[in-house]
Amino acid sequence: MAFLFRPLRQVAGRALHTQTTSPASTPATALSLIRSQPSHYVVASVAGRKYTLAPRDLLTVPRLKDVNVGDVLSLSEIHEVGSREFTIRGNPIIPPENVKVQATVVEHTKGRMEVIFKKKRRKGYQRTIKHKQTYTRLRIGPIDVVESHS
Amino acid sequence: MIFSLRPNVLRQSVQIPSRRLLATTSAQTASATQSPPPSPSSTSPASSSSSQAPLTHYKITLQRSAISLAPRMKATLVSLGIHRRLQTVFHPHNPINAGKILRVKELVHVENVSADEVRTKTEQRRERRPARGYVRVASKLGESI
Repeated sequence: MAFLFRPLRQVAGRALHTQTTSPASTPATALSLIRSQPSHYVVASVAGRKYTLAPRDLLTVPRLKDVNVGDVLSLSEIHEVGSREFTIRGNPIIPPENVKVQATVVEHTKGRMEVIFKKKRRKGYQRTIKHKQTYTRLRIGPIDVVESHS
Repeated sequence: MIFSLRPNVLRQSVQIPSRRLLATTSAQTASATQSPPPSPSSTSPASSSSSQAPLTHYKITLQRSAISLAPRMKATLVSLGIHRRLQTVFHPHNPINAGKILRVKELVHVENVSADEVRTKTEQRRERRPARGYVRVASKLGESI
């Protein structure tokens, strides 16, 4: 609730650094605008699930069975690339020759031990199930917004 | 009984497969003996595949459930191999299958499809899987890809 009481000129001052620009006319100019910025993020799909990723993130996904520890994966389904001030949205994905992101498989782990206890009272039925969910951890590499020389 | 009391409600909500769509059966069996069958684009109005491949199968999807309907309609769905709503099943064009569709025509959506579009249950499940989203490029432990 405190934000309601900040004076209006403080809010306006904070917004001044972001200059409004018209959207880029060609994909090449859009890519070069994003490339000029210092840091980027990417929205990519891994095994059908979308994640917002940045470089040096450690991503934990459900176990990927077709991958070994130490493998380098190149993410092929990238839906969105963005920086602080610009975003490129793919339709539905951005062509892989424009944005390159790699991820390294760090480990295949299991989660904490979960104890599932089932009981039906007065029927003599009870079961104890111990379970650890399996995960794969990926380290996201640098996001490379490729300069298109056309 | 329910349908005789409220026929208009049913007609507004359901696209009943027309007899013209199912008439490709008789047209093809009659003309196959005498002359080469006519091109699929001219005979079947509701064709979904490319104009080149002949449309030889029905793609049947159950749109409305048969709960509380006549045992005959339920038995027809059993014979078509449909167990639940929105299940899709492929059957070849012949008078028997056309008759089955006509018996449950208010519950079902039908398309004419070529033989290379026919999928079994496992194949349909495979097609619903999402893409992996990644490609193995190298290994940092020196293993070959």
